[in-house]
Amino acid sequence: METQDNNALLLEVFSAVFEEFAFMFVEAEPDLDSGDTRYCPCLQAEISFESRDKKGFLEAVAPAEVCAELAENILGTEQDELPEQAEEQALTELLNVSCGYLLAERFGTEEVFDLSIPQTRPVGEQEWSALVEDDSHVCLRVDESPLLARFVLQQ
Amino acid sequence: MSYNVLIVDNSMIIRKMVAKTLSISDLDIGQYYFAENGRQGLEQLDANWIDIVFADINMPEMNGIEMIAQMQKQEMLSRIPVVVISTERSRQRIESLKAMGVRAYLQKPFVPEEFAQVVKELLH
Repeated sequence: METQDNNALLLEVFSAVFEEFAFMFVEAEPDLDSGDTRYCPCLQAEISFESRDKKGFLEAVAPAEVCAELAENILGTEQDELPEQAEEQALTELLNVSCGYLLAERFGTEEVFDLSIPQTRPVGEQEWSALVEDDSHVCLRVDESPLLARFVLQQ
Repeated sequence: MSYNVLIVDNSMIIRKMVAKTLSISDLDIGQYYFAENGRQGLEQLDANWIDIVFADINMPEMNGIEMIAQMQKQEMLSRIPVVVISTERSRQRIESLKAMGVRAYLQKPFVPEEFAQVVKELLH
């Protein structure tokens, strides 16, 4: 039940943030094929949070191409004009905003959370397939591309 | 009169987004100064005439709260309006920022029209 609630919350949060931030649309993707690696290379970003009695992290994995489109839409520029590391920074900023949104939705606005600085790393074909197969991530679709997300509360 | 602005955020995306929003508003902006954390922000404030500061909270090395606290200790810097742009939604933290002297708080992602309105009210 909690997993279903978390998945619904992740869909709600990522839908709102992608739309507000970059005018991109998110929906659930229940049929993602783990063998389909045409979306690679991908980027993984993670941000952790901590309050007096709660801690955990939020993670997103998305094709580098989607991250570039996200950066283009946020900055209103063409792909060939994107500054260095724009893809990584677009994904980390999206995760940063999503984490603030998610914590407020889940725990309200009375609790004070400290967030970490989000980190990114590349994800290759083999790891992408393993992540799709691993049912700890919710599979979403951003426009025509997949996005994996995970919210973990480590109380 | 044109206004010099300082944008303090570790995200290059947000620094560019804030600068772009200002550039398309009808505000008369003079110089744009940028910093990736609070320490660099204080260096820019020491070296340049700044009319308004836009700052994130969550930054490496020196966060926005520490930077604002340092600004409040110096009479000249304490007079510069600070707008915090953050993902923070905790009511307690937003209230404590305002108690520290922060003049406005905008949540990311901000709406350009709302952003421009807040800045106009602070500068005019």
